[in-house]
Amino acid sequence: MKNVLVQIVPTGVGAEIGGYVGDATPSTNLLGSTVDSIIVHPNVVNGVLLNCASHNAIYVEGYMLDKFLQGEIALRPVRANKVGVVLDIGAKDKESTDLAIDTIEAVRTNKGVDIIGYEFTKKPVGAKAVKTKAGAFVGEMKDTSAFIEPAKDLIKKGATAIAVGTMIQIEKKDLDTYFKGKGPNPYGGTEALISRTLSNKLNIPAAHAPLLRLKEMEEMLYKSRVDPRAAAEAVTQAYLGCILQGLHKAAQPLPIDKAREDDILLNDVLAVVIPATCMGGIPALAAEKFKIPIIAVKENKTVLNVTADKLGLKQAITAKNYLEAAGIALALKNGISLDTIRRPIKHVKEIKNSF
Amino acid sequence: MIHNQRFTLKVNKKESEKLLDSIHSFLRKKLGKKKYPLRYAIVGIKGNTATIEATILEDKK
Repeated sequence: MKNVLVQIVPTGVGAEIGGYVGDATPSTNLLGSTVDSIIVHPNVVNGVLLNCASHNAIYVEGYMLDKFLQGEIALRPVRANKVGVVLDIGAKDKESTDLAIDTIEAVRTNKGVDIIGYEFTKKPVGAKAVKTKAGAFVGEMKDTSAFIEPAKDLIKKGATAIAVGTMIQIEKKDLDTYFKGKGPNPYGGTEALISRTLSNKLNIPAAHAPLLRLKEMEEMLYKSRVDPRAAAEAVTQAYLGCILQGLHKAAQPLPIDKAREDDILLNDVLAVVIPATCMGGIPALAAEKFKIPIIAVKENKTVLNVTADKLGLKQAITAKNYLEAAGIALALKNGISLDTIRRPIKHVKEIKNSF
Repeated sequence: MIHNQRFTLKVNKKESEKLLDSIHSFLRKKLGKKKYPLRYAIVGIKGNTATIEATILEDKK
């Protein structure tokens, strides 16, 4: 029997842990150390140029992860993908393009990732970050074909995973608020939509990284002493780095009836670990439907307040923090009833005959 | 085109295991065949009324 955890940190909701850049990775590696493997979506471990997830972390784009948790697909771990890169022509000033290409080269030569090449979009992608009434950031764009067509072309030329780098229009005040640690990351929601669209249309591992114009890069680089969780993007804007490392061994989706013994199925999931205020998304609701334990982490606050209590979720187990969540995961893995570890302990109940 | 939309929906908390399916069928009815929810979540709940934010992929054809 495989023991697999799924860790979710929703994008664009200002999560205290994981709402910045790669700052949930230590919790991923702790949780991952309790099981055979831990499935994460890009937002959990993407840290600009850094991706410090352990070897047993399986990188799965959010749309695929939703489908997996609804029992619609299986996941096949791979030794390596061939990665194709789509770059937004809207960001085609020399500095931005050079940084993107140098990042590709850096990941190739340091990590040995097979990157088949890069292709520019024919027209600007025109993505824009939008703040919702709930306070989260999402994205909008008029024409998704701008990045889908070059991605299709790269797949024809041998790519088995797609990285996309695009410009994202954001408000400067939202970025300043974020760097002070007082607001959600304005890029994340839009990034998730681009990779979700690719997964929806092309059924392939995909991830997105923002490309910045020179002026934006300078503004970000000279911020000095930002919130520690945002520090990775104050030292470099080589955002493609983390996703290329993630896509290197990202799991491939496949139909359930094609799954082999070594593939990962929903039945292998020991628990889903989610911030306690984000119980209204597909991962928590799917876990509730399929009776998979949900470890709800209280310390990871967000701008939302949708708790298990408010939705009446029966599968939720509250953990104060990720340290406690790791203990709960170990207990679940070893079949130890959580009640037997806590004190005071209640007497066993007599159950009256009902037949 | 990708855009965002808010909805409200009455939910039955006593049947929490059916929440996902009820949101699915609600969105399917609201959006029709040419619009697809790329992601959605309950972002607020008051009593039995849930507020849902959905990001929608709309095909031109």
